[in-house]
Amino acid sequence: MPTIEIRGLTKRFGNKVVLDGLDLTVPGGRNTVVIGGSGTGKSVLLKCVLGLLRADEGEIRIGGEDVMKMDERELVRVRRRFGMLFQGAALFDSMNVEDNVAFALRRLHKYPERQIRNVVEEKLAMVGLYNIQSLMPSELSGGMKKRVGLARAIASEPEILLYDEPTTGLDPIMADVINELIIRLRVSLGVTSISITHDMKSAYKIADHIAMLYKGKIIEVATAEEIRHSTNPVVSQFVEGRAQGPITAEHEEFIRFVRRGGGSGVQEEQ
Amino acid sequence: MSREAKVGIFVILGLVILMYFTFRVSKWGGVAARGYKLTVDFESAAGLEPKADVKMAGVPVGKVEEIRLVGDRARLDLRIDGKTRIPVDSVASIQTQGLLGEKYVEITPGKRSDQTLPPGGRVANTVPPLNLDEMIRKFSMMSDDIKRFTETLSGTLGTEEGKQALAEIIRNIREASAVLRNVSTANEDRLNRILANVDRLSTDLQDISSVNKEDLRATMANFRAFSQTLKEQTPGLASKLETMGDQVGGVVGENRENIKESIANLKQAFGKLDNTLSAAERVMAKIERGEGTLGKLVNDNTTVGSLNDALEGINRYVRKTESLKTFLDYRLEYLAESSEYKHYVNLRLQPSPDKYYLIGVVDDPRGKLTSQSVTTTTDGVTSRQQQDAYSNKLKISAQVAKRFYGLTLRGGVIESTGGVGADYEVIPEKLTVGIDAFDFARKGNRQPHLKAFGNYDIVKNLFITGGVDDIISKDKNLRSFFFGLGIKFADDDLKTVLGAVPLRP
Amino acid sequence: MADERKKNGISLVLEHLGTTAYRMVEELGNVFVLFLQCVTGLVRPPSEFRNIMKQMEEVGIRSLPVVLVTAMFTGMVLALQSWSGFQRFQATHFVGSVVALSITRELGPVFAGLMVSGRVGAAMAAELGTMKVTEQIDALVTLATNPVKYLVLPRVIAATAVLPVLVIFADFVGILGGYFVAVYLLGANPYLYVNKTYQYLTFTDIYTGLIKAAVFGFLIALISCYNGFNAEGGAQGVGRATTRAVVASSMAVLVSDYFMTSFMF
Repeated sequence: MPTIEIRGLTKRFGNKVVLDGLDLTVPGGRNTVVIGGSGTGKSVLLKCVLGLLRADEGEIRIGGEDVMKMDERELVRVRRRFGMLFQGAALFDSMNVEDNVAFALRRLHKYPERQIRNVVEEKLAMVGLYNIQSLMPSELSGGMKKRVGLARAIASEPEILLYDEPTTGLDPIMADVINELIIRLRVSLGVTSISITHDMKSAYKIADHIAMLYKGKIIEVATAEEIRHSTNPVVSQFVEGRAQGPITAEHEEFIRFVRRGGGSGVQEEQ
Repeated sequence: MSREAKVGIFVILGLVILMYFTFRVSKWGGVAARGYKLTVDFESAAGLEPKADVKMAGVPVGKVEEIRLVGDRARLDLRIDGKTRIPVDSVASIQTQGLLGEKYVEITPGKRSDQTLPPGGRVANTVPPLNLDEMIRKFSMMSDDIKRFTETLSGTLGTEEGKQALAEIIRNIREASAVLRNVSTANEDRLNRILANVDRLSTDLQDISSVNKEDLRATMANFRAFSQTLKEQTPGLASKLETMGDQVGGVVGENRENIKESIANLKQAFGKLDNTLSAAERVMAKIERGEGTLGKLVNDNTTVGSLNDALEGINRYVRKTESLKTFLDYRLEYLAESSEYKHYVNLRLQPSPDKYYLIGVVDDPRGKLTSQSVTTTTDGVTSRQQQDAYSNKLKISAQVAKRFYGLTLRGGVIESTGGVGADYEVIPEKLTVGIDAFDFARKGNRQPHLKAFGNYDIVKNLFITGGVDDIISKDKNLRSFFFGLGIKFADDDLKTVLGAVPLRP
Repeated sequence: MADERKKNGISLVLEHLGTTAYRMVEELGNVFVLFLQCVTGLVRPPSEFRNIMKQMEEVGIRSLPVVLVTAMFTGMVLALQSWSGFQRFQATHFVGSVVALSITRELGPVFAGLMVSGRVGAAMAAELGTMKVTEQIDALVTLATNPVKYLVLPRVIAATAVLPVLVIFADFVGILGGYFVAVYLLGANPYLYVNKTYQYLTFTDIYTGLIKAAVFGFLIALISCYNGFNAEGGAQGVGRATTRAVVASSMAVLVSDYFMTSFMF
């Protein structure tokens, strides 16, 4: 399974630098979890890897091929190696479960039409779902949606799986079901995977490696155990979920800055 | 129903409506291609649009299909509803609905409802469209004339001399009229009768004149020339009248006796005039009763009728030559029994759809029969055998055919012998079946030649034929299936083929 | 902030106008880019036949009732209005011509276009917008599917192809509506009315209307898809995109109608 190497990745939105020369190596056949606060650019990182967003600088090598230098057609080819589970599952509302799962299979003509039914059933069984092929996404619960999304992501047998907040919005039991699934898939399919999450419980459970994203950079990469006992104050504040620390300190400074600006504005207008 | 089927139905339904629209807005729209066509020529078709109505007695009976320029006149193709019959003497005119409404073609039906225009015919009588500009121009010319006339008049009569002359003239006229009054009172009755007669005569004349508008127009022109002359002569005439009046006055004064005598003479003269008047009256009466040629001409309705008939005949003749159609066809028949080919060339002249004349040449491989008796003696037994041999011969056909709906009966010369035939059109303009019977007095006591056939038009100019020839013949090798192929041309095609050589005058 | 307050009103207005104009030109460019992407999608496999069919059903068959009702009443009111006008100079027999010409040349295509931009444009923008904000469009990309080709192209093709068909129906029903009002309500002579309806109508009148309709369909689908594609920020963003789509495509219908009319006739 391919290794993903990211070097010096930079992505700006206007003046805002979201990723600032990010370096990360995702070893093949392993699950790397990227943790970080909300709005730190975790999703942007995933989208850059997929080529959904074009990074401004740097290189992303997938099994040695640089995604950044590819044109749209080559990207389409590379994307076939990926499967992605979206935060909200992103099931197609207009299609039933079977059509959702079979979507890529049909588009890529991977199997003859008569086999697709069996493949769909098989993939749904892998995520622990049975006889729901004819249901519409609106009829599914959040956890089921995620699992169907997962089945869809693995339907075309990808080499790399990307998980965007796989447990967010689920109850603890369903979250654990998804965690179990992720682990089982890695074991049974042997895929390389990147998960992004801020749910530390999930991260500890599924991760081979955990990378902490902070201010557009990966500040630490380590095993789950090492991260848990990290000496880096930023990492330790995040993993322990403390309200006081370097991350929030900066937040408060920002809040104070905003208050100051707003207050003075009101005064001058009077 | 599948999604594709729904979309398909939706699109097809749309196309059907579009086709309907296309059909309605095409030049056939409204009347469809049904009905028949007439043409009419106008000096001007200004303001008339294609698809304008054709009305008869105000009732729409068709549409203007096409307007085009032929020579310097506008030719209109009218498409008339199938049911409507239009008498041959009908008059077409371009009318306007209201003052500013649209134009349409009005057909004023003629009297001859027994003679109607055939399809493709022409409405010969037209009334030139009323042109407002033209009318105004004529009016202004007339008023100019009138003005000039009155100017001359006032120039003549306005002077002192003129006034005196006029006064004298009036005086003289008064005297003369007094005399005349005496005379006329005496003859009032007669005069009245004469006037009545004249009145009636003029009515008759009017009737005639309405038929002969052209003449009337010429007359009017003459009359105008006359009045013009009159106008020019008026001053001279006045002075002449004046001198005359003077003379009369002088004479009266000088010769009272003579006048008395003159009056007596005048009385006598009036007596004579009286006689003349009664003579005139008698003539009038005669005219009225229809005696004499003039009287006949005026009074005899049959005269008018026969005149109309004569015109009718000419019209009909002209139409006939116009509607004469010519067809030329060639066919090749293969006789299966004898493996021989028979060729036909026919010329069909069709003066009207229900009648035609057929002239043809047939190259018949078995046209000529030579039979000879051969006497053979075999083993002392003498047997006589009849040996028949056939050879090629050109034969001629000439038939008259009359059509009754789908059935056409023919008769005349068929393959150089007398014969009759009948055709029946099974599918109009496509499939015809028929039978010919001819050669009733056949050599060698044979049965008459009977031929049954069917023709099928594959395309307009190409047809196939097939059937049984010589059905009731006892000679086995004479009865034969046949099939063949033919080409035919109508005169329009021929014109094209022959480089637009006109086939009819 | 302090800088802006120093500017006087006029320069503020000018700046605002300049920004608006710039944004409009930018949007136009983006719509055009989307169009080009559609064109390239057109030549690449797979053909989106089933998708096109689905959209044809959506745009065509499902819009039929609203278009027919609109056209029917347009024809009816047109007959009513022109009747009362023409009666003043005894020209009521031209009502049929006026109704037929107005419907086929102008009102049929424009009203069908407006109805479709309201109904279908909104639906397209809302659907695509929702797909955008729920990452379904990103999901498409991860499933090796070009979203422009999969989502936009079938809608544009279907709308372009189907709107003329809708307009044929609209023409027919509109003329029929006029006929009913004129004949049964106002007492026009039915024969004369039908006669006049088709007398001055030429095939050009009909097919220019259909060309207009095709252009309207194209613009509506393209603009609505563009707005849906660029929806951002949850349900509110979808709502905004939908509104923008309907307003922009209705405007596009009317503006392009003027230019087409001035070029074609």
